[in-house]
Formats: sequence, C-alpha cells, structure tokens
Amino acid sequence: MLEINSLNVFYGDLQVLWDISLKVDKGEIATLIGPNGAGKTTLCKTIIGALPPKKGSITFMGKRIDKLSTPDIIRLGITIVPEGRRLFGNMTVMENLELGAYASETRKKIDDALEWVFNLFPVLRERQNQLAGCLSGGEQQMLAIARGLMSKPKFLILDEPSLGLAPKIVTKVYEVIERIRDEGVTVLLVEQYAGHALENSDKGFVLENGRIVIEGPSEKLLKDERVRKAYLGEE
Amino acid sequence: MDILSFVNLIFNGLLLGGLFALTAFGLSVFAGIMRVINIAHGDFAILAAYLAFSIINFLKIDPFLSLLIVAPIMFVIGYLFQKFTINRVLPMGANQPVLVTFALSIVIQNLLLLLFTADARSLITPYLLTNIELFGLNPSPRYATGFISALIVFAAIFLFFKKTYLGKAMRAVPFDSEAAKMIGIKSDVVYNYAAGLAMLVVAIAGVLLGITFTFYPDTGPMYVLLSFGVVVMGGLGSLKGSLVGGFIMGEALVLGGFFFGSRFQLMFCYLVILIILYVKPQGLFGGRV
Amino acid sequence: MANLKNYYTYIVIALALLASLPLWVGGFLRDALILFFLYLAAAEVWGFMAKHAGIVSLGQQIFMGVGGYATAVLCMYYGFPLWVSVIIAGLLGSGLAGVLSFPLLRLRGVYFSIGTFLAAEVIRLFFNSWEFVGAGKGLIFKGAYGISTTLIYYPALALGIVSIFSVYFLYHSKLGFGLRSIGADEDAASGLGVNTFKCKALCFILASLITSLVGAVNAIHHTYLNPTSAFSISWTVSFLFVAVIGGVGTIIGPVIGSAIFVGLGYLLSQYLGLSLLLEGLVVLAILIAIPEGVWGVISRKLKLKLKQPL
Repeated sequence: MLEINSLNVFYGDLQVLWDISLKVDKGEIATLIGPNGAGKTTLCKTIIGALPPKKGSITFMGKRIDKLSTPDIIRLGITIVPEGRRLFGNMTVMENLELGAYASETRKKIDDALEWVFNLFPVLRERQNQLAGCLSGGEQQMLAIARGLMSKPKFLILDEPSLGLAPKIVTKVYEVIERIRDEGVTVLLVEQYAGHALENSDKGFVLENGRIVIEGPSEKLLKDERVRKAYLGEE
Repeated sequence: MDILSFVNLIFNGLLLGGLFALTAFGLSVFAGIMRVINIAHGDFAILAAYLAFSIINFLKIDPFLSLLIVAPIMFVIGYLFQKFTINRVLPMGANQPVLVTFALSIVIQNLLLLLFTADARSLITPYLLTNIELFGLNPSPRYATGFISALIVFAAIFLFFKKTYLGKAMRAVPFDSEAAKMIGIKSDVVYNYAAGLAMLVVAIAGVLLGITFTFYPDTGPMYVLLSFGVVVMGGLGSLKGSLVGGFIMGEALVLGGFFFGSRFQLMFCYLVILIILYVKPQGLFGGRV
Repeated sequence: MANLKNYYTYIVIALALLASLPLWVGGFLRDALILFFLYLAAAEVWGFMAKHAGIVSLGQQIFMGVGGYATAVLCMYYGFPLWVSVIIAGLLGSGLAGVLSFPLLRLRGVYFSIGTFLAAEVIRLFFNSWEFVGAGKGLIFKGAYGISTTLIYYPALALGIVSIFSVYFLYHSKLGFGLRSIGADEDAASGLGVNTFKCKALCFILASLITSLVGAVNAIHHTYLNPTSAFSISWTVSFLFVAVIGGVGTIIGPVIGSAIFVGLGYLLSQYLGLSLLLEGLVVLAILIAIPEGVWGVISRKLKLKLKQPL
C-alpha cells in the first residue's frame, strides 16, 4: 500500500535520512523503531507532506505522493497522529475532532465519522464539550487518535502513541490500534519502546542515524540479537 | 455638574467605548491570529472612511449603504495585504512586520493626502444628529449606533469563530501551527482569510468613525494607538477583552475630558495606556505578540 | 602597514573635502547638505538600534523636539551662549531618554515601538499646551537669527561623522557585543548573564544624545519651533526611510539612503506627500524583497566583503 524508495531527506543542507526504502502492505501493522533522533518523526513528516524529500519517491496505492501537499495527501487517505499528541488545547474535544475532518471529504458528512470515533472511544463522547487541554494524558491520546480517524484514513501513522502514558493506558491504546486495523485501516506505528510495538505488529523496521539497519517480520525481530541488545534491554 | 449630567457623561462614555471596541476588534483579530500588531490599522480604518466618502459623493448614497461596497473592497485589500506582504516578512524576524506596517501606514497617509488633500472630511448622516431622550438621559445617537454595531459585529465574529470550519482553523493555527499543518490546514491561506476578515471589521469601524468624527489623512495613528490601548487592556486576541477594554477607553476619554478639559483628554488616554503598560508590560491579561 | 596608511590618508582627504564644501557650493546645496548630514546622523543610530539591538524606536521625534526646544529656551530665556545650549540640550535629551528607559524598555518588541510612539504623542500634546514655550503657536528662535548656513553646516557635518564613528565603535565594543546578542535572542542573552536592561538603556541614551543634538542644530537652522512639527512622527519616518532604503544596520547604507531621501524630497517638493509616498513604497518593496537595501545590493553585486558593520 505504501512504498518508499531510496528516500533522502534534508533539513536545509543537513542530510537526515539516507536511502530509506520500505513497504507496508494493506491491512498490516508495521512498526518503525529506533533511538531518539534517528529520524523517525522526520520520516513521518516527509510521508505526510510537511517536508519535501530531496531524492527518492513515496508511492501510495500506486500514486506518487512525495510532491503533493499535506491536504492532498490526507485526501488520498493518509493521516498522521503527531508525536506528543499536539491537540488544540484551547478548543473543545468536539472542535478538535471537527478539525480532524477539515482537510478531507468527511468534512461534509461528519456525523458518520463522529459516530465511528465515539464508538471506539466512548469517553470522548462523554467529554465532547470539554477543553482538550483539560483531559488526562490517556484521554488526550485517545482524542489525538480519534482526530486522526476523523478523515477516515486508509493508512494511519501513529508517532509515539505511548509516550508519557501509564502502562495500563498503553495497553488500552494498543487495543484500540488492533481494533482500527480490524476495521480496515493500515497502520504504521512509530515507537521508541520497541517491546510493545514489536509484540503488537506484523513487521518492523529499525531506523538508526537516518538509515534502516534491520527489517523483517516482528516475531523475528523480537528474537534478533541486535534488537534485543539495543532495544529490549538485554545484556 | 449635577448627578444626571454626570451619569449622562458616563453613559455616553460607555456608548463611545463600544465604538472604540469595534475599532479595536480588527486589530485584535489580526494580532490574535497572525501575532502581528498592524501599525497601519488606524490608517486602514481611515482609508475605509475615505473610500466611503468617495462612493457617497459618486453614487449619492447613504454612508451605511456604502459599506456594502467598502466592506468587500477592504476584505480583498486585507487578503492581498496579508498574502503579498505580511506572509512574506513573517519569517524575517519579529521586527520586520513592525517596519512594514509602519511604512504602510505612511504610504496610506500620503496617498490619502494626495488624493483628498488635507481638508477635514466627514460622512454625513443628518438623521443621526437629532436629540434622543432615554429615561432622562441624552445618549448621542452616533455613539449609540457605534455601540450597537459593536455588539452586532462581536456576535457575528464570535459565531464565525465558533461555528465555521475556517473560524475554527483560525483559532487552531495560532495555538499550534505545526500541528495544524500536519492535519492538513494551510496556515498561509488561513492567515489570508483572517486578514481579510480583520479588514472587513476595520471597514465597518472606519465608516462608523467617519460618521462620528471628522477625519483627515493623518487621523489614523490616533486610532491605532487607542485600539492598541483597548487590546492591551483586554488581552490580545480576546474579543470579550476588547469589549471591556473599549468601555474602559471610552470612559477614560470622557472622564479625561471632564476632569482635564478637551485639550488634555487624548493625552490622558495615552498616559493611561502607558501606565498600564508600565504596571503590566504584557498587558492586563498577558498574551505577548 | 602601507595599506593602513593609505586608508587613513583617504579618510583625511575625504574629511578635508567635506569640510571645504561650503566654500564652493551654492546656498541651496548647502541647505541640502545640512539636511543630508542631519538625517544621516539620526538614521545611523536609529538603524543600529533597530537592526543590531532589536529595538525599533518610533519615538525619535521626542529627542528632535526636546533638543530643539531646550536649545531655544536655554539660549533665549536663560542667556546661555548658542552652541553651549546645543550641548546642554543634547545632554537633557539623553537624560530624558534615561528616564524613559524605565517604563519603556521593559516592553518587548512591537510593544516597545508603540510605547515610544505613545510617549512621543504625550510629549507633543503636552508641549502643545505649555504656555512657557508658546504652546501651539510655537517659539520663534530669535537667538538663532543671523547664523549662516555655512556656520550650521559644520556642526551638521560633525554630527554625521560622530554618529558614524559612534556606531562603528559601539558595534565593536563590549556593549555592542551585548546588544547584538540581545538583538539575536533577548532571552538567551539574559540567561547568559547580559544585563539586558542596562545595555538597551545605554544604547537608547546614546542614540538619543545624537538625535537631540540633531534636533538642536535643526532648530537653529529653521529658527522656528512648534510642537506639531518638532514632535512630528515624520522625523522617525525619515530616519527609518533613510536607514532602510540604504541598508538598515550598515554604516554606508544610510549615507546612500540620506542622499536619495533628501534628493527625492527636493525633486518632488511641490506635490505634497508624493515624495513620502514614493519612498514609502520603495521602503515596502525593500523590506519585502531586498531587505539588505540599496547598499546591500551594491556590495553584493560588487562582491565586496567589508568588515562589519559597514
């Protein structure tokens, strides 16, 4: 579904991603792991059109998207739930959700999307008129994912969804991710905490210093020596 | 002075405050969304007044009707101004927009001077020059019109921000423009429409100011200083705050006139603003540009 | 070493040339030259404040007016000799700047700029009602009657030169270094231990000293003062235009800018407002498209690599 080929990304004159190539098939949950500063968020930004790549290509469902604008990419079916949630704290839950549909076709028929999202996250239905800034960490993450779902994406990128959350909440978040996959959304999960991510995904890519160093089915990666040493805290 | 006259004065100060609030709304919207204080704000208002003046003379219509033409023109001016000027200089550092809006202020003033000379102008509404009696008070009809317009515009803008997608986008972008970008909102385009909206409001204010007071090509700066005072008192970007700030400013002006004479009332207002800035350099309710 | 000697020789020759100008230019050009140097002096310091210290003052007219009025008052009411009055007026102006620093320099960014504008308006309105200095009718500066333009030229020239040297040495001084760090990032500078208030205040005071002296000389030149023109925002407009057109923050920039500004002013003087309108449009275009100004473009085209802050 999503295919990245030899992607090279720069911040000005500084190269941050080298020859990135990866593929995510329809219905998969793929995960991108790696240390802080490896370039995971940069890659996400590039996919969503917030950062133009210097070389290489990104293809989504057969179409080249690396030169498109973010609203166009969202309309084609890719949405990102940004790192750190990045909600609009000065606006209500409902308003944040409505803005999630801003760039896409769902804007016109928003009630269906709202129903879907409220069924996935009943707590948001309860708190729909509260300011997003007043929600708890877990609720905010739910809202951030819900906002991402409002555009009815075919492909959802989640950048560090478990950041700063208590373990119980993290489990809940992953339950939701499973449910989303079951409803037909392909997921790219970006995580620093490799364990959870690999346990809950089909295949994984390890990004280090701007390059993909290891890739393969998640089960295999969990047993891989290098991965265990670097990311799963084993000696 | 007897009690009734004094109450009348206070009452009219409140009405005048509505007009000041209306004048400040445009500045508040601009500053709240683009985070830029438009130094040419007052000059745009006076530009609208002169535009109305020309249209009235040409078409012989009522000043309020002329708004139907002036408002859209000002909207477009605001949109283009943001698109080709402010958007270009926003990345150049915090002081570049200051220089740009200041230079624009001078350009507008001199353009108006060339086109209309330095003669005093006014937008005539004879039906607003009558005397009204309301519960023993004498509200000035023109001030009252300004006050009512302020409330209407306030409600309209409030609803716009609350109910429309564009309005919500305008609240989201200044809060977190990167997040807005990632969910598909183009902040440049949002800014363009926000500037257009601001100028639309400025147009209404400008025509009302032109009806209420005489104006010259160089009247603009006075209005931007007063509007700035209103915004500082009410908090940047807060519409409700601008209403409150406007009322305070209106009262300051009339009370300043009452205690110190008409020669000193403007100076008194400016001093009040300076004192507030001294006591609270970020404005009464914070919010830095 | 030989190069340096040549460098100084050129400067001396240039200065001698400038000093001799009044002897062989006509009266009309002498007026233009006086204006040229006065605007140059004020624009140099304005530009330094704006570009390097991050302080955009929209209130320089305060010092133009105070410098002028103080000179006239000291000379006519208190009997000080004319040029002594000028010096004292300069000091009074900078003293006022020191006082104003306290309320104004706590304000950041555009708040400061508007604060200076507000202060200027308050002072203007005050002078407009102050009978002691003639209120709205103004003050006729009889003490300056009979001072020839040639005699005024030299202080103007001196101010221009002093201003240039001040900016140059300020830039390279420790104070200048502190100011530039403030201009780049005030919070970071403060975090590193720079006393931001003191630095900005000293800069503001120095700039106002020069501007007040400019105002004093200008008053002698015109022999008439009234609050509307003495405290008019047009002064700041002129200094801003000169600095930006030439190249804000550079030293050579305002030289070019002042020549253009004064020249255009004379050329288009019959059409009220036309010169300012055109210059305003040019300034806008420069700010948006070529922020480095005329001098910036020239030095880029000529591939000159001059030592800052020229």
